[in-house]
Amino acid sequence: MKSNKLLPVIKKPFNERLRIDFKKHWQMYLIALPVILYFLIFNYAPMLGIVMAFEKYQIKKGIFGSAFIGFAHFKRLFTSPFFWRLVKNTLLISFYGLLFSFPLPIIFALCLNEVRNKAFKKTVQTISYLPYFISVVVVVSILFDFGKANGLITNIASFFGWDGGAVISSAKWFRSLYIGSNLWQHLGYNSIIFISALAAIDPTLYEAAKIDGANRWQQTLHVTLPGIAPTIVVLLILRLGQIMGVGYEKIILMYGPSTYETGDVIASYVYRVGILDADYGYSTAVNLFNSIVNLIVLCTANFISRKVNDTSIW
Amino acid sequence: MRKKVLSMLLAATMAFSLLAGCGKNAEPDAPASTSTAKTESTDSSVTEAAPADTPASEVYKGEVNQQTYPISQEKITLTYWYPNASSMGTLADYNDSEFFQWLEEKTNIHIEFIVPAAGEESTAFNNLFITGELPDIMYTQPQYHMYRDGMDAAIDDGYIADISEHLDWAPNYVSWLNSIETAKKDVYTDSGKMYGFWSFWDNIEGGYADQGLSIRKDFLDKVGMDVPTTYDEWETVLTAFKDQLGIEAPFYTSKKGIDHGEFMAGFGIAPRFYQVDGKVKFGPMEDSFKDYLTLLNDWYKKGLLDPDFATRKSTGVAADNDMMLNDKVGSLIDWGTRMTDAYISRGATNPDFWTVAAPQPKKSASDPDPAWREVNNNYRDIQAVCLVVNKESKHLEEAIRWIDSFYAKDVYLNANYGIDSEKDIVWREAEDGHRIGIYDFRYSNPDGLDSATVAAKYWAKNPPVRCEASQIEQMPPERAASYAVWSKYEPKNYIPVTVTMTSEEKAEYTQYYTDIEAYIEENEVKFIKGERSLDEYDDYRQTLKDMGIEKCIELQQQSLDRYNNR
Amino acid sequence: MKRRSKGEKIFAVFNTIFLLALCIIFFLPVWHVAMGSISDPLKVAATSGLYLKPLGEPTLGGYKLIMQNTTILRSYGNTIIYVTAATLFGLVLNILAAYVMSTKDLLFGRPFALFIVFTMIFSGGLVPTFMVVNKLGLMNTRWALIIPGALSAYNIIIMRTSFAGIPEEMLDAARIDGASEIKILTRIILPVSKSIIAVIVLFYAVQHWNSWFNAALYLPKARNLYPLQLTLREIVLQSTENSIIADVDGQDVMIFRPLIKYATIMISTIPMMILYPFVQKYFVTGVMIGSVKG
Repeated sequence: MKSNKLLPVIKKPFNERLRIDFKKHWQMYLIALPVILYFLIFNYAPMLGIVMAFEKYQIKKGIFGSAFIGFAHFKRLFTSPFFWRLVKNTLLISFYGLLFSFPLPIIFALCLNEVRNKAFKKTVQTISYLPYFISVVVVVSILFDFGKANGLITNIASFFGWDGGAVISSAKWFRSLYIGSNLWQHLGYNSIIFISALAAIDPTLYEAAKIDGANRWQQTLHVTLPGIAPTIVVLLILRLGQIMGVGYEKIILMYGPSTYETGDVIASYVYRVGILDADYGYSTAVNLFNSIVNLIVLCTANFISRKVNDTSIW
Repeated sequence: MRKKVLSMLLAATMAFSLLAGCGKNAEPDAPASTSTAKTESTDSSVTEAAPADTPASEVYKGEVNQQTYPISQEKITLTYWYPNASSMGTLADYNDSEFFQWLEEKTNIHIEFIVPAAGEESTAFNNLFITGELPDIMYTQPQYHMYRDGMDAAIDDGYIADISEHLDWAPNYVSWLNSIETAKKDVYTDSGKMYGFWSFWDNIEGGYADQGLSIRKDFLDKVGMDVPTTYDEWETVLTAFKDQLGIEAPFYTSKKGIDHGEFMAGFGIAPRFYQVDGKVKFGPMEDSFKDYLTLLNDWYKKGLLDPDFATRKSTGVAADNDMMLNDKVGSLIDWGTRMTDAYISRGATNPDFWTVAAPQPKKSASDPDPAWREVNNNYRDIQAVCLVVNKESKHLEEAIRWIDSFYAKDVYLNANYGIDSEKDIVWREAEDGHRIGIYDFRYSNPDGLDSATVAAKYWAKNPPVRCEASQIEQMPPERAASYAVWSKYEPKNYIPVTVTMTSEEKAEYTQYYTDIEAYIEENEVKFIKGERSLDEYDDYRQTLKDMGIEKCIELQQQSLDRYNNR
Repeated sequence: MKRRSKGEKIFAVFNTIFLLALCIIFFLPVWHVAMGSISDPLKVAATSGLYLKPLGEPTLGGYKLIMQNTTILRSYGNTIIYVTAATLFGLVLNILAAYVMSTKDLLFGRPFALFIVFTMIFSGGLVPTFMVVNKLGLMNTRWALIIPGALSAYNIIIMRTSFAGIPEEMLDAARIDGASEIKILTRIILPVSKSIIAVIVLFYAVQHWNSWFNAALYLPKARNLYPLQLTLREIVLQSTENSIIADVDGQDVMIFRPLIKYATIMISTIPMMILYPFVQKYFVTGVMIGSVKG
């Protein structure tokens, strides 16, 4: 939201502003109504269930009737000897994942944008997004084969001096394999939004730049990148808002006792807890913890972005 | 004639229960039944829900069906939660099964099957309670489908019926309870209630072992050795496999490094919790476990184990397919169903591929046999399947009687082998009178159906009484021979799945144990590989103590004590 | 056509090589699955690694086995219904939400944005959501797969970013002319937003195409309403070798078991391959003048 920082703004009293606003925008609020209704029913009503994080939830007693136990679930999570390791692993995987798999789809989209041959461009696009649909089980199984003792990746690694044996069972390699295989599967799909954003840049801007004598590289710098900058920034902020969201499914398939050290994340830990004892209160508490961390990161990112370049989600 | 015998037996049952009732303050029958059933025993006074008062029965294991049919005068429908999506084959509905059609005609009860999506059965089960609308009957495997607060809570909270209050409606089941000495411990909860109808094995003497040590016979022949029986012999054999045959993984474990118990039993230990004479022990805390890990570490250095065991995908029973089929595995723990030529039909590249069962090794030949058997699902006579009934069911009596039918021989034979009219098509009769499934009908079905669909169409999956024999007889003799080797081990030291913790105990246990398990798994791998020295084993045990292992053992002990006092 | 400079030509060559290489890398797993699905199953079981060509004799046995399952066709039909209905429903709400969120100087603009963003961060989890759906009476009906989960805050924010790039002047002009908001939305915003709409349609369609968990949760008694992914998942699980209670397994079905996992992926991916070119058509330039600062 832009604010005019030069002139002092004398704010009218709230009622006054409300009246003006409704008069001007009543249609907008009407349009917003179904959306609000939808989220209230399907997101906010269930959100009330978060109280389970503070309860010893029992099905019979229901969400609002179960015994209140305060922060006991949180205490249980925080006092696990592995808690810090889990947080560290989650954050590192997220962070390194961000570092590599955020820019690469953009670069891919940019390269694709330079292609003149429409048929080639479309073909590459389509092929690139197909791996997204391969089930993660198959991908992990290929990974295991590449990462085993004489597997492709292990051999390449050995060539460059790695002597720790099969990479798939090495704690040092877990993160790289996880992120790398994610990249392989998701790069194409994640580039779609950028391809679309690139397509939406006004061609007359390119014309103007060419007239000014800019070569392709300069055009990229001064037209293309600024053109997709809002998309990039918003997606980055959203991505940061999922920093704690490393899911358990692929981790469970990939990890083992020899890679718990770097591979065990909060979600996989909670999954194992759930097998011994399905305590909804506990899992809700863990999710709440994740959500709060996500919120803090998201707000910080949004705030910084707003100050730095005026793009923000709110 | 048969009816006369039946009514005599019923009268006898009534008489006994009356007598038993007279011994205490006999209370009137609990829920007033709304049934229109025409069986005579409904109004007999009920016995107290205490183990000592299971009504007596002269009938042995349901030999005579004590229900009268039809169970309901009007056609009623019972809803049946049946988590067996993966066994449906190409059947659209379990009502397409000949067996269930036959049963419907006999009982005049139509069953509406509710089959949850494969893989999500546990979630689906919990959701039943959340909606509050339970089906009439539920087929559960309590290990995977359980009300979170436990069996007693499920009953006390009003969801599940306490069968002990309705035993007069279940005479066939009662006959089973009275025929099996140990049944009382397993079928009653800690507080003396009956959670549901537990499933039994008929004819368990035939021996049944899901899994066990398996070794490549063709390799043994090549190196001219016999199946090893002691650890020393094993070492010799494995060394020969490695040196003479170049086998990559002479002994295959899994990414965890240790076996499931069959190999370590000779040291007197088990992978995790076990019991010795009623006292709970924990494998990794025992001194012998250190000896076992020392052995594994030694073998790992000598290349007798799988050098890349940490990279495998399997979790301990059966090896990664590509290794097994390409002659890279010398010995492993395997499923019973894979003995014989199963691997050849699965794509083994070596035409001489042959595995045989190996006994659990001992330290010396004069040691007594180890006493370990992993029996997650089939413990002694009891299967880990329990059919429970909705307490609020509108047809409580009919539901109970319907389930009870399965415990009568005439019904369960049909459930296991196919209905009577399919004699000599689906099954045949052996000389001694019992039934044998016809192998070709299942595996070269004349209608072209695949074996899974044949099973679904003609039989019932895991009926409450399951005939062991129906499995073994369809087996090639080599597999039966393997079973014989494995099933001589009595699961004395195994903690039964019917031992239950209270929900407070479980919460406390989970709190410590999740972390302990992760720590143990990591360290076992390190010890075996030599990344951590076994000299530190005492430090390791101390860490386990600091993490709360003794509390966990105590909680298990409490549960076991309650179980033993049932 | 303007002649390219030498630098640009060199770049074009490298770019092409680079993209081709990526293409191969991306296509490999898909090729692997396709090859696996028609290979000799015995060889598939025995061979790990990437399959570059069919192992042994190619066979359609795996596909035949799946097709024997009469529910597949029905599930396919179900999924088409769900994807179409849910995408449409979600898209409409998405557009409305993005439009409101992109409007400047709304007094409640920021609260509205926060209202939406919050749903992305916090969730009550499985149990409360299940309870809500249950209370609404959606269980065991098609609506359970169309309405819950149809609207995504993430997609709203993306679309809003695009809408916010549309110059203010165009909208103001229309407003001065007395056009209603709906008219502005449909006559001005949507026509220039074909690209982003195409993307959001794709996102929703793929989300619903891939989903199976909601069906498992909300259709306990209605197997006939199962979507494709759930049916396929069941088929794969049926054919997987994890024997909890060891059963006698036979030679026939099991022969094609290793293929089933691959064949099911092919079956469910091919429609997606066909969908994308349709969506790509809309990645065209909109008519936009001026800068695109948010």
